[in-house]
Amino acid sequence: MFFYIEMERDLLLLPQHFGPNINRYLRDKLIEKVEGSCSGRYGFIICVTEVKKIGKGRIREGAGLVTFPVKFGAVVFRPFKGEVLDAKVTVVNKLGFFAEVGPLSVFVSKYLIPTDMRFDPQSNPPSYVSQVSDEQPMRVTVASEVRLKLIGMRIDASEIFAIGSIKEDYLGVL
Amino acid sequence: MASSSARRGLEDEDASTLTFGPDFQDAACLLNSEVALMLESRLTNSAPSTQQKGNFLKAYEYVNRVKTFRDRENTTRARAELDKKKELHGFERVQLGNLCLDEPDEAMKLIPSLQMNRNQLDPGELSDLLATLKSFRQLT
Repeated sequence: MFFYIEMERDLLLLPQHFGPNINRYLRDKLIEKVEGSCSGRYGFIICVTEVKKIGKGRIREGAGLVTFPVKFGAVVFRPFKGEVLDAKVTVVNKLGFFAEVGPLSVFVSKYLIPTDMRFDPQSNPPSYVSQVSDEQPMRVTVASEVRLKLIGMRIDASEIFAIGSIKEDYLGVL
Repeated sequence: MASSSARRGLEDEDASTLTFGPDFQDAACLLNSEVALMLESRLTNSAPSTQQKGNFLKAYEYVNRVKTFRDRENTTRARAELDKKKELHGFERVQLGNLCLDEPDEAMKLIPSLQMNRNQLDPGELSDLLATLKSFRQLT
């Protein structure tokens, strides 16, 4: 889910930027540094909305660089276990499929796809097709929209990877 | 050290019990439609030459694909309607707004925390809320 949260970061600024435009430099630097980054703690930082407070700078010993603590608000995307999301399928293979929720990549293993859906390697691109005979067959293929539930996550320093399931009521192809 | 504590935190986090860890427990949850509006204004306000990062574009594309309410007016009204339900956690409100569900049973299954005892929202109230949200969606 997307959240609005407040965070604090330390920014380094070169002496050449000290002057009337210092706040603008700090703002630009903040945006350049944090936007698009991903951390296990805050998730994907999508967009800095405002700079709340720029604290007092601290000069680094032996160098002219100054560290400023900057408080800001940002829109972040942070997945949680148990959350239900709509995703777009990107890759399908015999082990399962990958889907994207904005910046997040989710893997759905074939064991977490309903058992009546079979892998069909003949189709192009490959797909999972439901076998229920009296209905229009449901097909999960590249670019399909699916509703999935996150059941697990692995968080690295700069990447989040999630495992999803469509093997529950009301989940599956939209 | 830091990574082990982060991992421990992760194990405690679970949307079905409404535990989100210290950083997100009280964070403001946003509807996909609200995010779409915020990113849109960001795109129009920034200089045309500035290159947006990959994550920004992915998120922008995503929210515009899945957003439930098409314009600012309906988004505001949906948000006002959801915020009337004080007994729901912010996370549950936004899930209800984003997923645009048809029946209370579907909501109960997809958002298991709604079944927790502390919630006093009965199925009738829930289906009224879902119907209201749906009407905001159809007005577009």
